[in-house]
Amino acid sequence: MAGQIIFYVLAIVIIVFSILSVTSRRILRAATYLLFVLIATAGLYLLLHYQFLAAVHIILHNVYKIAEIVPVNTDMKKVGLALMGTDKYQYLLPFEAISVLLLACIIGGILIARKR
Amino acid sequence: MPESADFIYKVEFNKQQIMNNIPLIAYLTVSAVMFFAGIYGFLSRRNMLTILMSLELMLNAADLNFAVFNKYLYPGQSEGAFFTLFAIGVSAAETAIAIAIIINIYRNLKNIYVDEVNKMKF
Repeated sequence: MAGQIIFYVLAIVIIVFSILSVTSRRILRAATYLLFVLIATAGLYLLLHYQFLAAVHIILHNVYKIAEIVPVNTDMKKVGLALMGTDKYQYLLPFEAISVLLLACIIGGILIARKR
Repeated sequence: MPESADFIYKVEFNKQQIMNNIPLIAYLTVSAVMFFAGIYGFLSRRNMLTILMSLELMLNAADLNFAVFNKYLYPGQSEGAFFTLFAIGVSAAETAIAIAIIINIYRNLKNIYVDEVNKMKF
């Protein structure tokens, strides 16, 4: 029952703020509404018991200090084992590929946006 | 086709143990609204930064769909969750590069409105 209430609150927040985010004329307000939508999406991940996904989602979208209250449990061990291996249902190759992609992206971003 | 019967059985079975008695269609409705808000913003805004934000909305809706389908249809496996993880990483890389390009366009042309940037059209 509590889960249902949380879900419907998060759903209303997501719907209202995503529509406000694309219709608001001021860009800073639109960015703030988008931030609310992202936080509520992380809440939906938490509701689905994907704690790691919620933490990654929040950290990557720059919401500082909220990640500390996300509970860390045995899900982390499962995620770590699945990311570090080459068996079936293990994802070392995409992990390394995305790390190279992020490195290239950082270098490219600095190179493009740098002042000459 | 034996898979379809098995599929329906799995869905029916998972309905028993769906957490908090929230139907799958509710999650899908939320992500559909988010996705179409992103499409509307992508087509109607003129500022490049807001277009990028709309793109972020669409990516979020797709990621949420992956996680929800994984949890509701195949709760024993976690491929959808890992796909979501990698998609979040790719979207972060893409956003950083897009912001760098927008900064560069602003330095060279002094605006970031898509209908006024027509130097690189052809």
